[in-house]
Amino acid sequence: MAMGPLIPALLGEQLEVALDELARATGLTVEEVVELVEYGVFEPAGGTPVQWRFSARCITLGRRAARLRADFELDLSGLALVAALLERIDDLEAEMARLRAQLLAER
Amino acid sequence: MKYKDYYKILGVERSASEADIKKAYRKLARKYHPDVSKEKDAEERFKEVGEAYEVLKDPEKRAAYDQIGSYQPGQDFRPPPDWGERFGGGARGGFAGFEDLGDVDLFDLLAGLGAARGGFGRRAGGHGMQMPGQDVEVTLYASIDDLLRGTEVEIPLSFTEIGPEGRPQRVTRTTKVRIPKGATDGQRLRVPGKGGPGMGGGPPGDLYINISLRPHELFRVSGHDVYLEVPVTPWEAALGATVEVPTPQGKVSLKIPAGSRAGQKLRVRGKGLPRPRSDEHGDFYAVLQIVTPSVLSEREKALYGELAQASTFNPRAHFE
Repeated sequence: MAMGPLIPALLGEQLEVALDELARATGLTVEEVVELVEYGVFEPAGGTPVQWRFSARCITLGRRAARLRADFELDLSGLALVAALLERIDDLEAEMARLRAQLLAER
Repeated sequence: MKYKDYYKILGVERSASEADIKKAYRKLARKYHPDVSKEKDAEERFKEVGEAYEVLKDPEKRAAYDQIGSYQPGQDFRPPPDWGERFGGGARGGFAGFEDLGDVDLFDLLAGLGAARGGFGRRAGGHGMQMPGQDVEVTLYASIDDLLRGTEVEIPLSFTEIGPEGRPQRVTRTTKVRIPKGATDGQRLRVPGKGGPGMGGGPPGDLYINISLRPHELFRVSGHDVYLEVPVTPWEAALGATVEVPTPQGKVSLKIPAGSRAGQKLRVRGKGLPRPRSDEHGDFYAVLQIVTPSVLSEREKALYGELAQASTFNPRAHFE
């Protein structure tokens, strides 16, 4: 059966996922996601956990958190700290890439 | 089957204790973890280290591995004749017949050892437990043109499955995807259900694609904006000019205003990369660079001399 190409979803700010979908996609438990929200790692829109909507960027962040937790046996507060620092590094790297794109090439 | 020296990969002696193996693994994992490491081959090394640890931390797998003997890494070998019966999982007869294991990966074989003991063996009997398939992450190297036009790519993925004989086998499957409009460097994409196959009726995993933009010889990309360095002559900068410059969407006429400075950015709206979920594009920026000729003709020299005499412009006035 010939199949057309699949169109993957962009995991950016535009797409939103619910709590259970985020837990499933990241391999974290629902309780762990809730705790990471309390630590400020994830910042969902909506009042109660049932109403929470997470930006799809959280999937990337959560998957990374789950890997780090498993590979380094981190507890959740340590994980929250690592995630926050990694996000800062990401932002700095994005800023650096933006500035580098604007810089004149070295001669 | 190719030999892998797991002890060497972790940098420990064959007689190392479990604690030493764990210590060595932690150190290397911290160094090569792809989420934190900047090492060039971090992902590859981390996988290798993880594989070595997976085998050596499990006393049974380690014993099975030790029984194979010691070879040079990459050397072809065959496990001893009774290895399958001893380590292959009892009642099912283990992995009988190693003659045709030519392309089986050593790690898959050892992983299958655990599987034959546990879930997969039972699954073959039809009473298996459900296990979701593994999520798979791949990096896709794309060109600016790919992002602009949304090229189709074929992603071959290989998985280890336990075959009907209870023996691990490598299965390769190709997934065809189209890079969606709006993707850019560093973008993560998800294709649900296209990761590893589930076990015992469990759902398949997801495929995650990380887009990495291949460097372009002229353009530099930041998000959906594209930058190009445009060399101009001193007189073009001073008097203004219209020059033709390339953009990812074809050539455009660029008006350089009189009195332009080096490093000045001129924006051409909508000539960058497509943005997600809209018909809009990012912007194109021409970054001016003023270039002086390295060799001057007599006539040019005379004209520059005349300009030097006539001009009262002092760019260093603020030093005084």
